[in-house]
Amino acid sequence: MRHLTLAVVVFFAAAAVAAGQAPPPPAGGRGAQAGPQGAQGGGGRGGARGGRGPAAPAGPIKRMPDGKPDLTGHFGNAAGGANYGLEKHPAAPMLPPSQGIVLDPPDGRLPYQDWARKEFEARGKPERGYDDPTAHCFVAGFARSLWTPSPYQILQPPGYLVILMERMAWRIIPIDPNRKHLPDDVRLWQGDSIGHWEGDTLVVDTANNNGKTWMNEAGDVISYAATAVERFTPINADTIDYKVTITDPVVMTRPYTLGFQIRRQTGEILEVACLEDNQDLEHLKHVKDEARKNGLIK
Amino acid sequence: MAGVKQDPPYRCTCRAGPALWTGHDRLWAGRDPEHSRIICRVDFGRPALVFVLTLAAASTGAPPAATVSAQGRATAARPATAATIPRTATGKPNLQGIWQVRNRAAYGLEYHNASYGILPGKGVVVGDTIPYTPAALKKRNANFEKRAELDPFNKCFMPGVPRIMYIEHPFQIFQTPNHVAIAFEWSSVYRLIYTDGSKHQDGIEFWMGDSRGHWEGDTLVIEVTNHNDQTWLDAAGDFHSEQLKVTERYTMTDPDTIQYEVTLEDPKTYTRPWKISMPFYRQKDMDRLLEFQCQAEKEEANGAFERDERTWFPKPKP
Repeated sequence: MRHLTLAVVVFFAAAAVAAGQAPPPPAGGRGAQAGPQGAQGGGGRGGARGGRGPAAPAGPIKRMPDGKPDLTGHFGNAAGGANYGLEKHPAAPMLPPSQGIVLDPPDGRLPYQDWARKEFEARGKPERGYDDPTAHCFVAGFARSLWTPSPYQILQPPGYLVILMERMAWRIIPIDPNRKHLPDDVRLWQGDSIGHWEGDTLVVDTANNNGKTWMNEAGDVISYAATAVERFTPINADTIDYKVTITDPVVMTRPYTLGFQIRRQTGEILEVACLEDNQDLEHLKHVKDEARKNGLIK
Repeated sequence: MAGVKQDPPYRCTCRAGPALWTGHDRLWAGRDPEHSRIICRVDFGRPALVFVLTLAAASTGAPPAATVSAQGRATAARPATAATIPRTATGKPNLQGIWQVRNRAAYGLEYHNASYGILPGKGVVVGDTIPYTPAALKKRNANFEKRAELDPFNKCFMPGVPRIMYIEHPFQIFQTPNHVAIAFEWSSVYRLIYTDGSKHQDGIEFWMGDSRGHWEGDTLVIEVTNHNDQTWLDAAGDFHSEQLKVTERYTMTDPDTIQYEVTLEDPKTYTRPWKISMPFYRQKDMDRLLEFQCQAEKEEANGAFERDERTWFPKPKP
């Protein structure tokens, strides 16, 4: 109705022009311009930066108009060095320490099959640095993206949770109990994710992984057979508790669970132009080529 | 319509290009976005009143401003579909969904013939020609000659804005009150557009620019600044400098079409601002985006990234 009114007003303005008055200013273009719609919550003030630290205390959480938890914002992980090893370990030459994010098994050791434990150890050698897909600037894979030391933006448009990684990759998680996974032979770097709410927890099932990624720079092993159940639970206005249980019968003897906190950050995510600025890969390739020449690797 | 002679009933007939609208209850019901000149005839009985409208905002989205021609009549156009397009809870046009162009703009924004690596295509430049400075035109032509070697897209580098919008890959739009996000099939690239009134970053260049949007009526207007000078506009070598300013306008013209209009300003490269205009079509057959990881596919093909039989999805048996 407003539109019709607008047309009438302009028509009369034009009629006034015809009667010899000043022409009207251009009308109609900015009638319903949206102004600032209010910054979200505290915009991260008081939120913790990603990194190590004690677990955040429970408190009131934010909610969407429909009552579901509001998981939106600019976040970093408090994964405490998981990029350098999912298991707890002290600093080693060429490898920063990790406080470990393995919640199950309870001893914090991943239930690797023997071949996979050996492969993990082999990947730690300098000549294998070239084999890490992220050294080539490929996307990190559905879970690794969440504990790489880079922030991400979470949006919650109707029917979705969308995670935008500063290292230029996205995860689109439809929240739709009726959705089915892709056919088995369709395989993706980030997998195919489907979410549903269980109380205040967003539960995300991921399948259709291609198995091309590593789990971190240390070389923790994951395969195409991996399926995952992630649980995003807000525990206060600025903190999400994250747990993921991965079942990977090609690599592990039993399912395992990782967990850490995702914490609100200040500022905006920027843009990591990895491939465009990649200076490292040539060096890593040289190290690998030399090792191959010397018979250290195949 | 109060104030307009009702007896005998008036009648409006407006024509813009091939499109024609007639009605009694409003001046007209829509317009063809490709035509900026609209000729209307309003018949109050007699004499008939004929007026010509030149829509100043013809290429800048709806609802357009109207200026008055010599005949001295004006009005504001309104797409007939304003009532039929999907809307969000806040009443904004709902752009969410999977979209893709259906044109050859990726190969050349200007009307162009086929050549090696270039599919032929109708131009999308308003006014047909990009207004390069003489020096910039020389550089564009050199880019074209060496396009296979120089095109940053062939290196799998982020294509920048607006090029990412019309490469031949689908993208998905998401909308929240404070953000619009666009996720692309191509290399998992995305755009995060702030619609919260925030300002552009100061002093940081981005491959994908820095996007801040607002609504003008039913049109989403996004100003993209902070570009670097590394991206091209198409595969034909069309380019810009770091002084580029891009203003995008997204206007739904029906539930399955977004008219996408872009103004490009770059005083270092062009003699004046210029525009491109094209529709995005809803990809009705797609329920989700898949992945095209440009660099990974390239390195798997050329052997730089080697298959691991233990962890990769098994190859189909021969």
